[in-house]
Amino acid sequence: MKYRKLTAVLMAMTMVAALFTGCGSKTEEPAQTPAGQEAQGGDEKSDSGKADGEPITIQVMSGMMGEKVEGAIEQEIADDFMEKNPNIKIEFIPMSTNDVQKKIITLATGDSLPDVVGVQPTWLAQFEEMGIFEDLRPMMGEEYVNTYFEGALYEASVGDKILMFPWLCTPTALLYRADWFEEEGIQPPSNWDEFLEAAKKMTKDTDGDGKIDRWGFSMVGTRNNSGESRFVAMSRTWGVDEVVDNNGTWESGFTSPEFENFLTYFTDLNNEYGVVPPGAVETGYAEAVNYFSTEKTAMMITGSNAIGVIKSQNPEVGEKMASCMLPTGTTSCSATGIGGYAISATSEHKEEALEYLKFTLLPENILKFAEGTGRMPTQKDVMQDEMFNQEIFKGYVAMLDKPYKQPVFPGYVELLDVAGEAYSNIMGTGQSVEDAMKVVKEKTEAILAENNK
Amino acid sequence: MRKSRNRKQANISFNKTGYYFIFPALITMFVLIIYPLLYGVYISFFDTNLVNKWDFVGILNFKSILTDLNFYKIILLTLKFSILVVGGHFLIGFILAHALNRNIRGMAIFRSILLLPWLFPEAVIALIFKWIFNPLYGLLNHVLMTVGLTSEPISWLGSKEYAFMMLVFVCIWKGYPMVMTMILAGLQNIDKTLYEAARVDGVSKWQEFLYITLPSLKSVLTVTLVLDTVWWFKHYTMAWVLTNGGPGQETSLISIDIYKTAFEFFDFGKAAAMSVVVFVVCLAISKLYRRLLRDE
Repeated sequence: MKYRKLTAVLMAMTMVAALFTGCGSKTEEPAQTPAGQEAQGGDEKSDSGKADGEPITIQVMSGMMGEKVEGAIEQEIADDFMEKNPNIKIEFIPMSTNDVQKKIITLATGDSLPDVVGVQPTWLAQFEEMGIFEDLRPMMGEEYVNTYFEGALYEASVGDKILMFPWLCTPTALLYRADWFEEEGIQPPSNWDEFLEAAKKMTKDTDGDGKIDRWGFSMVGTRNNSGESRFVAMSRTWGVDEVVDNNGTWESGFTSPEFENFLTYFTDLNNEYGVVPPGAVETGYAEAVNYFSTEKTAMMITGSNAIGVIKSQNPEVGEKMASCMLPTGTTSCSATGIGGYAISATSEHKEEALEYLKFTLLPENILKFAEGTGRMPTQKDVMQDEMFNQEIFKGYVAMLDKPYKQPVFPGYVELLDVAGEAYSNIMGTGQSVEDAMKVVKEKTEAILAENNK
Repeated sequence: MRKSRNRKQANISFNKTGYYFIFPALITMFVLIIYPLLYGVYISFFDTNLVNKWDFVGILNFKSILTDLNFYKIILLTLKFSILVVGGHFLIGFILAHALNRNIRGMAIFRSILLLPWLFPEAVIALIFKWIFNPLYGLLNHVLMTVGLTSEPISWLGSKEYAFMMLVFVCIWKGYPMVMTMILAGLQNIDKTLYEAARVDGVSKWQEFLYITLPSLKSVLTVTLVLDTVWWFKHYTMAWVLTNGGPGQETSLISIDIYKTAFEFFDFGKAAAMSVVVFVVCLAISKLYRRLLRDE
């Protein structure tokens, strides 16, 4: 009897041990870098505590590695860095840009953030509240910090802290088909009335079959960050601030008559004038770019990153497009639209991570990136390069002189969603602007009240 | 007397041995199921970012969602979605399972083909259908315009009239093979002599179905119904990829609302409270089914 009992206990213990060994075995396998090289050791986060001579692995979570053009250039720069620094290995964790924010939160809650994390300014307030990123200002030093545009530094900071390395910027401007504008004998629009007139002229039946097959405006009408960020880029020029800090009290322009006017104008482009392709609310960034590169649309309000995508999809269209400033309403402005990298507060290789990020920002690397992708530099001297005198960059460069300073507001994403819901309802469900505004006011006031506590 | 005591001791000892053997499974269940479940309930009582902010708010999150009319609208929309999708699965599943439950040559090929939608990942299916439904380049509009059924491209996923039904259609297409397989397995287990006896008694096909097939499938149907309803009630992937919950809130299922509350608005406490409510709803659905389909 005793023997049977002992056997049972031993077997149970063996099974438990096997279970946990099974769970833990993965960490002992060498990780695979995108280049197919084996990373050293089994630490999931990074290879700390190596014996002398063994390389340190810096894990980089990148939203751009998932993009065809951007990913290839980023890998090329990293390979170059690894060749020059054999003691440091760069291991990318590719991630869809739209998923990066969620992934960061998930990893942060599990205390397993990679060393370097691709971020956007919109999320920084929340991340600062969570205390998950290192303040880069003391690491970079004032001299280095001063090489950046003021607008880029502003967006990369929360208070005095610089939380992200401003890697590149994508100011919002108007991308248009220069050849079609020339054919029609019109100038690129400088205000919203001209924009509407141009859009109407560009919307036409080009093959004479009685059906419209070309539209004036590639609207991104989805209710997500892509759509909402473009929407507010336009509404700001109508004098609408999403949120302002009025002596310690948050206020929003979403409840103003100016916002209602803009909401009417924006949704009328689809509902009233039909200058956008069918299905505006299901047209995301990918579809809108696709329409532009397949010659279905004539204008698109977008960041300069669309240049690289359009050129890669259709080089011929790439040669025929130009950029101009966003049409002016009551004002002219654009967020710098920076993207960049933060260093995790729990990283054990902060210095090496900084070394890598500084390398990626060497002029030759950043120019290579700009040429391939259309994403522009954030450093003043690099912007002097003659590449940015080209027609295609003209509008974007001009918008950099009109930086919009967006306050760091914790409820910002929720506020954007309020705008997204409004235009989605008006264009997709036929809701009236008046009814949509009631919801906008109610929700905006609730968000402000929550954050004014 | 002594012999009986020994036997009793042996029984007790045997029972303990059983517990030793289930111990690893018990731990696994606790770590993978019970702990996350309890942790979710725990979070619902906090205003938290899950890292460094843990403000206890009691039942405030529950109060906030249960006093929000919009929450009930979303729950009702999700129920409507689940009923239509599960109904579609059972209708198509029944028809196809019956068709496949025959000894015809080459039937295995049809079975494999009909199982295909189940094998593809949800995200892939959603992306494929997103392009099929694309207003300008989509196959559906192309076909409809070619045969003259419509003159203008239709926005299938961007209009109030169609978005919800198109989502339901894709979800039915994706999920029917599971129901079909379960019903087919159930059909193949029914004793053939029952049908033979019924035929001798001269019953019609409909009576066969009503009095032999359905009662014999009751246990299979109960399990399938519970699994399928709960699965689609908390469905997220295809709704998110296809419509983002839009236009407006036309396809905003509860899972999308929870996801946005947690991962876009950083309100983890409220999202957890919503998840607890969804858990209770799923539990209630499961109880209801069991009661309705209980074997007499």
